[in-house]
Amino acid sequence: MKLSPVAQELLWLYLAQPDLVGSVRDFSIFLTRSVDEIVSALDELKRYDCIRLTPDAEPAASGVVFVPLSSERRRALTRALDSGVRRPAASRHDGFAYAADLVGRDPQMSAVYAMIDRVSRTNATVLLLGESGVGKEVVARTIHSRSLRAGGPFAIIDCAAIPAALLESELFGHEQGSFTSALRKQIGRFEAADGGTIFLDEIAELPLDLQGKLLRALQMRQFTRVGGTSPITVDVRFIAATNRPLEAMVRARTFREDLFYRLNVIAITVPPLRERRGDIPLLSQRVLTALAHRDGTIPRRLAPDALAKLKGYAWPGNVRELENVLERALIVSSHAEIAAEDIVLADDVPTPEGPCPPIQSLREVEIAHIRRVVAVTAGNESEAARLLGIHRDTLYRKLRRYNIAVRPQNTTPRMS
Amino acid sequence: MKHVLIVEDEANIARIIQHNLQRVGLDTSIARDGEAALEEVHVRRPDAIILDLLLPKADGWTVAARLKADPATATIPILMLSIVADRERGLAAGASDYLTKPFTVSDLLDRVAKLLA
Repeated sequence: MKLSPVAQELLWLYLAQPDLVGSVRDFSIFLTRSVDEIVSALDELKRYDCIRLTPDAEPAASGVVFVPLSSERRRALTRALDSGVRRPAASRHDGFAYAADLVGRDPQMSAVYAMIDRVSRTNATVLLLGESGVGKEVVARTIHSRSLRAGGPFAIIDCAAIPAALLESELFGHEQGSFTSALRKQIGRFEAADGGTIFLDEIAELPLDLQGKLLRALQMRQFTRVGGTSPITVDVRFIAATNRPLEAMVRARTFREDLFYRLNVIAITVPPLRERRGDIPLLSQRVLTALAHRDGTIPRRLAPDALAKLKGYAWPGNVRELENVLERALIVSSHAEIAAEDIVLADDVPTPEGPCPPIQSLREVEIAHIRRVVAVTAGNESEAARLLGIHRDTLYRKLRRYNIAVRPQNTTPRMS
Repeated sequence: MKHVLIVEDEANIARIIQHNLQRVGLDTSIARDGEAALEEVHVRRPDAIILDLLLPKADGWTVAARLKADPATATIPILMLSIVADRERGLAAGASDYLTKPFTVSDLLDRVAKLLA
């Protein structure tokens, strides 16, 4: 039996909370899915006899009641889910994980939901702010999937990942022969996203000269291919995201002021995980469910001490880090429940409410790490170089550059 | 018999709530919009109100504010029901409790029982 991803999500929800009640609209908001998707998922689930629907003239207002669960039914549903998840298309980014990221009932998130709700219905440019790993792309996808453009493409452009030299042609496309390797005419991502949404991730990394071209595209919904002359008009909605302070960059003149104002029509700040710790249990549950779903297994639970450990951590890497930590825990854990000892945090010092430890530069980390290794090896430089995985000469160079003193082995005072 | 006023514009959800409250021996009435709710509280003084926030005519926030401003209705406990998790704002507006949709029947009954205790 093949179930659609949305039907699977509903089924998981049912297995977790068997007496849930709400309208189709409530479920659509809870799972960040469109009303149509929920309606057709419910249709699929009808044959399992696990829901009772009270239809309404307006589909969104139809009532959904999950019927009580017998152990026999639970087994049947788990089986149905199992056969459903093995379909080849079930990948982690099949919509399941991204809906999971947006799960959260912490008051911090309600402002974000309310904004998503409002902007989804418009075509306004949205600027997403927030630390790395908080799920800005997830928010962008959600806005797209709940807008009238949901049927159109959702194009992600990571401004930091594409080499500056290729970015313009990547965005706008190029005409044949416009540069040496341009053998054919190629349409760009903007053209490909016609009728949909363009998500410009890491917008702060966009080179200054392209900022001007983007501004024009934003204002006119128009651009020219590299080497081309006639302007091309597209119907797209722009969502941009960054974790950098754009206002400061405007003052430093590394980001165009006019572009900033154009992007900043509606700004949504996605809070860091440490400011919505109340969501950690629900998020963890959803991540574990998504991972089980990917692997075709039954989701595992977190032991209370494991959950307490997760809640006590500062999460500098946010939801993405939580996903990684849980994925690792699943691999090392051999029990039915994931225990606290299975959870390895980058900084194993819990910081209950305090701010996240200051971010160090790579150089600072390197110096601290070399010092530590040199101390551990008691001045044995060959051993230190081996542990660090670098050549002895490289180690010497670094020791000199960072002015790290090494206590020579043979002068260690001996007890006699 | 204790009486609970259900203020909910989605007829099906109102009926499901009503059915479950009646099942545990409560008397109920339903108002489909904010204005009807404000009339209904004076017709039959309920012992508790389940108040959805997104309502036609007057929204749940307005209804709560008016109920709390009127000495005759200020003491009736309110359980707010919303698709938006905004508990803090709800409590600040005078709600005794706040439940986010979709909700479980057992959770709803527990909370109503607490309001009536």
